[in-house]
Amino acid sequence: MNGWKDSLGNFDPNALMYQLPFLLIVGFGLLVLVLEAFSKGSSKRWLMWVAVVGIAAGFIGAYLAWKKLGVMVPGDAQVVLDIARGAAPPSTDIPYRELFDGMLIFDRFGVFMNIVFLVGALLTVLLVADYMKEHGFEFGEVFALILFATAGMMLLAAANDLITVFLGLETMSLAVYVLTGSWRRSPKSAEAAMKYFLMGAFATGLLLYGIALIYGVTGATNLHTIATEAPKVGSNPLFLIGVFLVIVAFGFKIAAVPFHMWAPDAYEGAPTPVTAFMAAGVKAAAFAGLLRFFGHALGNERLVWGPAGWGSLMWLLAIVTMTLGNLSALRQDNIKRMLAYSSIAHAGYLLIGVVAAGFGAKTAQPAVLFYLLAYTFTTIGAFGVVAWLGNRGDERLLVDDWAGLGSRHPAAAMAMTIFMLSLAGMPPTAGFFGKFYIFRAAMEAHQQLAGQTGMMMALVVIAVVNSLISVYYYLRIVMAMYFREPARETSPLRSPAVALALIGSALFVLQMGLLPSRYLDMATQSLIGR
Amino acid sequence: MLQSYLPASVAILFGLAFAGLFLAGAILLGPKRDSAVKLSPFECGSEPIGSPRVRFSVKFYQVAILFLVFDIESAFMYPWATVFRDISCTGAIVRGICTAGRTSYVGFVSMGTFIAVLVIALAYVWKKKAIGWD
Amino acid sequence: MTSDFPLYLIPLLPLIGAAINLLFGKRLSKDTNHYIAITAVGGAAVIAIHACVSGLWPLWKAGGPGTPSLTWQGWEWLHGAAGGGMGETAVSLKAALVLDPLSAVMVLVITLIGFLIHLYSAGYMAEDKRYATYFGYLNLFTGAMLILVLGDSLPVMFVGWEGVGLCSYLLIGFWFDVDKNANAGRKAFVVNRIGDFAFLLGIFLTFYFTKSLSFSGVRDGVGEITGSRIWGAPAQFWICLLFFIGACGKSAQIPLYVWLPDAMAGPTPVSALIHAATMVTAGVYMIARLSFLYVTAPTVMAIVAGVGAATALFAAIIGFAQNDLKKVLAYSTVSQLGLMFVGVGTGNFTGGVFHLMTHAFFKAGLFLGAGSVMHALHHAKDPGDIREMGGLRRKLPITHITFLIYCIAIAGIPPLAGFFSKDGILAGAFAFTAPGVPRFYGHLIWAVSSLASLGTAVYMFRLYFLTFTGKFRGDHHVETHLHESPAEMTIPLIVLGLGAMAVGFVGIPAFLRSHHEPLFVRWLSSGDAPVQALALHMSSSREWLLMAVATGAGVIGIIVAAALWLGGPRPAVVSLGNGLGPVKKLVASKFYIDELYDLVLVRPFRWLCMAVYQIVDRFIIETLLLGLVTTLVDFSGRALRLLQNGHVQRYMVVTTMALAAILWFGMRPSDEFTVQPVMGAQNTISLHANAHDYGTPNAPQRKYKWKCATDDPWKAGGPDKTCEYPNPGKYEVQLEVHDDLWGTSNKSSKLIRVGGD
Repeated sequence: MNGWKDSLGNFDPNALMYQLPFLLIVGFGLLVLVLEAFSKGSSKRWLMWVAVVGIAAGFIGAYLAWKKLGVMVPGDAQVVLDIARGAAPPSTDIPYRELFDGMLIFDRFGVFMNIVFLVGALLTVLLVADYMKEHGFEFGEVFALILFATAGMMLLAAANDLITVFLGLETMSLAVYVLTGSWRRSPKSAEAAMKYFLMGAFATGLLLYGIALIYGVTGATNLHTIATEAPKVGSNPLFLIGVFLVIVAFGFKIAAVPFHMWAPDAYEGAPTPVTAFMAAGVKAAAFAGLLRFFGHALGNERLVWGPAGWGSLMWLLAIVTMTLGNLSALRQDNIKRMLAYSSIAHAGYLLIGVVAAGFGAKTAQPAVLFYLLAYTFTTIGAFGVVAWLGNRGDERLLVDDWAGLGSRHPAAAMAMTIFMLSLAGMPPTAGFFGKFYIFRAAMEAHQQLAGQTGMMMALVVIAVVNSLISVYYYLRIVMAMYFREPARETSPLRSPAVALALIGSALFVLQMGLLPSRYLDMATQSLIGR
Repeated sequence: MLQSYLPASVAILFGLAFAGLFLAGAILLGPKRDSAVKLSPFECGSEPIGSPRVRFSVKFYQVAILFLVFDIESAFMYPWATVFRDISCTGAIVRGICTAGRTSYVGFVSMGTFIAVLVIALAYVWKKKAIGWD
Repeated sequence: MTSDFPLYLIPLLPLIGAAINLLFGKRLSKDTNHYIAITAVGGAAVIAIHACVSGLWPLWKAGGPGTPSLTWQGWEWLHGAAGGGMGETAVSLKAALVLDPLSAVMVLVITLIGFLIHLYSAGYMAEDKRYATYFGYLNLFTGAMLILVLGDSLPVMFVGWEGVGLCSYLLIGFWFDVDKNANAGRKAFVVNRIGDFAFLLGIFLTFYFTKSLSFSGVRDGVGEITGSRIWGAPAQFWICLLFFIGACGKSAQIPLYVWLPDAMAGPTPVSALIHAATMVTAGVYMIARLSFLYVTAPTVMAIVAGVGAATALFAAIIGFAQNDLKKVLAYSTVSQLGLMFVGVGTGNFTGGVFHLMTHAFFKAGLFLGAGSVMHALHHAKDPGDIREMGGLRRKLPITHITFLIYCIAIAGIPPLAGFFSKDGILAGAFAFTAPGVPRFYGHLIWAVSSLASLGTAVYMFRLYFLTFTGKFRGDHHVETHLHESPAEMTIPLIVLGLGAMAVGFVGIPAFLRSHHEPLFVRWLSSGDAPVQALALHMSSSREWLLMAVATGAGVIGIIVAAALWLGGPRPAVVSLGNGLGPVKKLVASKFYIDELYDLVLVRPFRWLCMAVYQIVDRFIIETLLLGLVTTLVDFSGRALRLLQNGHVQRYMVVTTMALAAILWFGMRPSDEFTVQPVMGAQNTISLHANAHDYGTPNAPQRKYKWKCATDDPWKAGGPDKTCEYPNPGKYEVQLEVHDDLWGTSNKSSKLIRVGGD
């Protein structure tokens, strides 16, 4: 095995271009850390702008990498349209580049996910600065940690090996554990961080155990090699146990029922912008990993087990996650907790996309990508409004606190309405098309099964019923804002940065609901290479 | 396959049974003459007086964690050192991966980057006064 | 003949104005509010005029193939595939806008009249508390209406259609602190929903047949529609009927007209803009837009014309006995809309649209004039009651003169606008022929419509005489406060008056201009004719006769009205009215249509609702289901709370148990095995053991034992087995699987038949 030496010996500095977003984010993270330590003055708010510049550089890097990876189907809109309709993409043309002896893979899927993470990081950075100032805990390290977590997510999205999956997941998680507890004076924040850390560590253990078992059976940690080995060793129980353990570990990260129990507590206790970051970024990153390993590498029933390989288990997880998430959200009066359960339910919808991808539905990967982008804007926007409304010592998290917001702050109420409609999946918002594309992908999978099993159909029906249930608790907030008398005075954050983040995400949610095709086309071009 | 574990489980069962047997024997057969001194808890050498939860300064943990972190990071240099000759093309050239007669700096630069990141971390820790005791 | 133009600017400007006023309006001054709103609509008007004059007009002048039009390609809204028997078709729906001669007429009417009404509102609503909201809604309405008429496809049109419906609802109930107004808004909304539903069904059916939603696509696919039948009738019959029901809702035709008179509860400028000039004409516009479809369905056209004529006459009769200024105008609007439907229903699409345009001018003017009168009388107990008016011509000179012009115009006296358009419709109705429709049907429509326009002249001049001539009959206190309205209200009145005098000339009939087609007709039917028309064959002597009859009806109407009401109600008229007591009461009560609807539709519906509510909602849902569900949710909530109690230890336990369950569930060996016989060579059969449940099939730790026939001994083997049978007959194959890892074994057997029968 001298392979890694080969790739080092032939090391091509040009290859660094592909990881430009990652390198830039890490670099700026370190820069923020150093500036934080060596700068004078107590206010660290200006570090926000350093982070924003870093993220902007990350966007440019992502753009360059996107261009460098080339157009999958050069300039032919008709072919893109055909793929969207279910025609097989010319798979040989999907450009990708494997680096570091196949430890990392760079393709447009990764770049698209990088954009999602950067969007999440940007919005979080904009929200968190003035939130910290208002609530009296200003730590400059928060910005560095957000960047480091983003770097971890990027690593995870580019992982082509279980070792890099683990590295990315840990880099991301460790930073987010600290972020969760960054409001040090708040006992709730400390408690949340503790719980999140303990459960996360447990999940990490399971992940490593699973990786070890898979390695033990297949002799490989490379996703692609595992995929080719899987049909040969499919009947080995140890391999199955390994795969299940990996599913469970990812289940922790995406907060799938029954591994979700940390989520409501951690989401409630964490500073609100960090909650938004957890709900959007961490989840998106975990789904990137799930798609790479399960949706793609182990897709098309390479794993012989049950009627649908690993999909049978994930199918069950999806149903339980959607249903329990929504039912629990119904009775929450605390908005952060409600959004936490809502986020759990959304993980359920997303799992449908992963299962559909596993069945070889061509539209599933783009659908999940579109959903993740839409969900990032929506959920960070919703948490952002929550963060915007509270003051020091008065976080205003109960639904009752939101009564009459429509007459007091019409713009904010309008933004919140847009986010709630999007979460509920109603047109003309991004959430509608997100759900629509996911369900369509599931139906495509159903057709591909050609009547062998009605699993996917059942999944879609349950998901539709669930999204109907969810309308109730989302609209509850809208009702409170518009149809109830104002409860008491509000003095929300006066912050241009927060306003910018809220307006920006509301506009994007609307834009993705009004012209989804552009984003879907982009997602359709972002298939996993190899 | 389960059958191959049979000897082990038999051994475990026997172990438990013997332990239980001797405990039961001691309780049932042994003489019981208690005194205050005999009933008091004891620890090796130290007086069992005061709260069992002795407070240690959090700085112990801090220093311990920092030590661990930097220790493990430096441990990464060992595997690197073992292949350094090869990746720098100064040792035996295994397969034509190096241009003849030219030293490759890839290995050197990668470790340099790694150490630079460590130095930044160290500088941060230092500046934050996490290393000093006060 | 198309070229690109940024048409989106036209609806966008009012929408931006709406956004500013609705979101931040309360923080701005009233001046800023109306400057924003008026500028937005004015800007839209300027762009629209620019587009028409320097864009569309040269294209039209140049002639050439195709309809002259300006387009904005918009963006791809959705793409997907439409399934069907013959495979899939790629469908791409664009959010595109198009300005062709037909929509140009509408856009100009909307922006110009809208601009005047915005200006007027600045004076009329000056004292209102929710000033910014009002202008926001008004701008929103204008934007939605522009989207409706500019839309290049049925869905875009529907977006505008729903948008104007929403704004109409919001503005009718604008003063919602009075229950009556809120109820009127709700009524309008509910009645419109019926129409909208039909419209939507029409869209679906159209898409089903043509696989397209853009107007050009539907036009290309008309053959698909006309070649199909639904329930024994041609498909186009149903589609056109559904679209017409949609139009009935929005344009207040029998039987869905009941909401429009109540809609007068909104502010008067709203009545002028939405419920006279623009929104209520959307139905006429829609039928004209889909004229290529309607000409294939003569039966539906006859229905449209019949309903239109009946509505025209019916509303005119009710208009006689109304004593509220705005109510009279409302019924007059219903009646005039009926005439427009007569126009489009008799294939005279240009005539219908022409009347739509002229009507927009004088009816908006009438409403604004009425608003000006009520503004002057705002101290009166009921400012709209014409019995308490009289002699206003001296106090409100400008209002008086302009009002008179509008009345003459609507009565159809030459050469004002109403004359040309109404005459065109009546002549078209007289000449109406269509396959399958009897010849006398057109004459009948003509007679009913003529009667309706006679009635129009009578009640409109009744209104005029009672309001402006004679002596003031109201309170002395009110009289002292009478005053002419401010300039921002009178200027629109004057401009609209000039319009009501002038716009008719673009449609001088052909026989008056040595058989040159009128400009308006040529404008609308250029190229491959977005607006088609049935051929109109008539000798000019007959046209002269019809025109004389139409003019005569107007003149007679005015004379009758003057005889009865000039200078105030005559005692003789009053006693005559008393003599006709029951009839008058019947008419004054609008033929009890509202009550009839209440009795036949609303109450039974309400009873049904109550019954359903009591049985389904109260008992089944609330008691049984909801009780069950709440108990379940409550129970699961409690159960979950036991788990979700905040203790990490508990979480760990649950997680570990779940993990254990997953591993058990995942690793559990299969319970059932089947034997699938596959016929091989003669007398041999291949058998395969196959797990079809969860579990790992054919795992290495499994041991398989086979028995090919009952008498054979068990033989060890793999998952696959071949049995040989020298003799034909029935055999029982048995399989036993033992799993070493889990210590389980399963047996299964299958009867097979070898050879022979």
